[in-house]
Amino acid sequence: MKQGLLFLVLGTALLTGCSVANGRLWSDYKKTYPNAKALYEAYPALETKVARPKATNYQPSALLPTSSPTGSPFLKAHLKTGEVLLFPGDWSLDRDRELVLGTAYQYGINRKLMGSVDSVAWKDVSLFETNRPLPTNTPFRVASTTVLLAADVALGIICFTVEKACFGSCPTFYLDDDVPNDVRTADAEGFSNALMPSMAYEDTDYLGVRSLTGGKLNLTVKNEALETHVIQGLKVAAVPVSEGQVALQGTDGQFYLSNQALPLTCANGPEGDLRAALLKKDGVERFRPTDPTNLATKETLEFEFDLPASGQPLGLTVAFRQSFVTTFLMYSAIGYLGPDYARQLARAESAENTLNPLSFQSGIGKALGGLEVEVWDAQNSQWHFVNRFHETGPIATNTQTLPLPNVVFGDRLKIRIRAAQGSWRLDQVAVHALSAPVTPYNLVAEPLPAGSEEILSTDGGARVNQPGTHYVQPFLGTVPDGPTALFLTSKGYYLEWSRQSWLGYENRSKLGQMVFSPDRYLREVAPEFKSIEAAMEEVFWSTKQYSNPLNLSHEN
Amino acid sequence: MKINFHPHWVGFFPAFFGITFLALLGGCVPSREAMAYKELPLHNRVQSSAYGALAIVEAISYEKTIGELIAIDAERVYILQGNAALAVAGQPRTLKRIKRSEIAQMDLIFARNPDGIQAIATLSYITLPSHLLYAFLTVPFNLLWIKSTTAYDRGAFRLKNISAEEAKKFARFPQGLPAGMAFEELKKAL
Repeated sequence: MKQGLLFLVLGTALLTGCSVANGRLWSDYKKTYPNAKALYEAYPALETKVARPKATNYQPSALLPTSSPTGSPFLKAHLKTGEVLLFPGDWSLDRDRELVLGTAYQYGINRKLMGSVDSVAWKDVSLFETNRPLPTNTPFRVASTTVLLAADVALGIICFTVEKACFGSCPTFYLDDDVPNDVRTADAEGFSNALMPSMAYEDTDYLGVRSLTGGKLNLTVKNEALETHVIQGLKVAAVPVSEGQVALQGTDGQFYLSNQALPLTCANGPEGDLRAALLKKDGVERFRPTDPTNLATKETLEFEFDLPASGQPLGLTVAFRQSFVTTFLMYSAIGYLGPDYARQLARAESAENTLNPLSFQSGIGKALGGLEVEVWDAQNSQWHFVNRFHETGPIATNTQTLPLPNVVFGDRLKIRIRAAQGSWRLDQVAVHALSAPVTPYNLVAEPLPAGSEEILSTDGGARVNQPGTHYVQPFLGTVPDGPTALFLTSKGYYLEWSRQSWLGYENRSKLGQMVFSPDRYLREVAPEFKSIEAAMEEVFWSTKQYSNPLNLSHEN
Repeated sequence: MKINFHPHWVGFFPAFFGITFLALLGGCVPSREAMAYKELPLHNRVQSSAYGALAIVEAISYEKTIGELIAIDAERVYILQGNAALAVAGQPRTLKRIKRSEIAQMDLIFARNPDGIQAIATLSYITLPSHLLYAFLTVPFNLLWIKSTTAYDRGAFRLKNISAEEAKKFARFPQGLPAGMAFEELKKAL
């Protein structure tokens, strides 16, 4: 692959170099002769008009008749008057009469066609000029550029029809797989930030409310990307809810119930009023494209809520997911590692301190940040930083609740969220009056039905799902029948597959910049991301599915 | 492979065609040199052209001069700007004289390649937004390839930093200005 890159660079340098140098090679395509004698001396060696450029007439001059067709290159006779005669066909030199014979077009000083002549006297000519045909490699370049176009179109068609090959995703989970092959309906997305075994972690996602009977639940598990998923554990937390009541997942790991949502009276962003998009969790998201000069540019959203009469603890609930910024950066990081990706992954895995360039604690992740929440402390007249929301993954919407601190809010609750512009999509922002933490019921993953094991692989008790894997995972627990809020906890990691086409893009300095100078990197990469941002977002909403991505992998 | 477009693609098309339009629009804002380049004869027809080559002259105390090389004598280079053969929109038709001693650099372009590659390149650009995340690889590659190809085209028949003596034969009047014709008279006659 390194040789391929080398050839690419050399080829480009050659092409670019040719743009400067090759003109010099053609400088002899045109020759001038001060008089007919000089032209006559060159006469036998003149290249033919119809033959290949390098073909020459080696006929000895002594054998030439005094007047004969030459089959010579294009001849121009520049007259002393400034006019020019152009001999488009055969011509010959008549030494006896000192004429150039042949039909010639006559052009005036202004190069307008005046007519034609059959001969011209040598004495009237100031300078003769011959031109040989110019070779060109246009057919080769047209062909190679057409191949490039064909490859571009083919890749476009693949991305149109099997988008996830171009997007990727983490393990996806579906409560109701009633819209097959549409990733938009994914209810949860597991451990998106676990890029290698040592990064495995537990990720809890809100699934929704379902009416359970007998403590049974079925969940569809899919691998819809070119990744290897290693699922080390799955369980579901179930919180029964009554009518008008919602169960909330706290960022502190607790679960809460709430019967009251505070009215959102004001929601403003740089583009204006955001209430239409953020009042309900309805799939209508608030999103603002990235800053074309810096992916880390921050924006601030401000909210106001009417306060309740009761003194119940409050929690800020946000339904959110990431845009494709992080996915883009992850793919870039893998591309920068080139063919060394697997080795570096193994090296990082065995190192004492694994460095994840996208980690939220350092590097790019830290520079991009999460959804930083502040509340207005009326007593001290200042904004009080509370905490941040952060969950990796652009597919499933996360709904989490951040318990608010016990500060004096004033006559209204004022909250502001600061985040990297274009990195997040918000579906809902709400404040709930919270109950005391509740203990959920647990639903445990059951063994798969007989026969399923034959097509699924395991590793030390973990489920290893290759691209295209799709099965129904049953859960069972002791839960009262009725409406129940469900929260999926998945533990594991995944290995992103590098693509054949990525291997030639190794760039350690860029990777180093990403890790050690993330702010600068995010500025420099912003235009590149901007050029594809709109298409990525649009296409995501038109998701289609492929049934067997393994086949696709061979095409990449 | 079955191609089954999802109805949501309808929402993608405006953005897609918007980008296409911008790409085409971008291609419609050429430099003076590029405008004149398009008027040059094709490489397989230049032998029959009675005009001079396209000269790009940078000289002390002159702005860059682009036009048809008319003639070169012992002291000066004569360049016709705004003529029919190598027209640059908005440029007045003038015969410019530049002292040879003041010329810093002179380039000549005497022919051009066909436009087919540009058309293919434009189509390639149009497909790039559909590459989604792969675009971070395909955009630089396409730019590299197509820019190289364009550079090759522009440079294929370019004689860079050519001396006045070498350049003479590429002029409309390689023998020098028509004898006995005053400058003003020539200006009108061209």
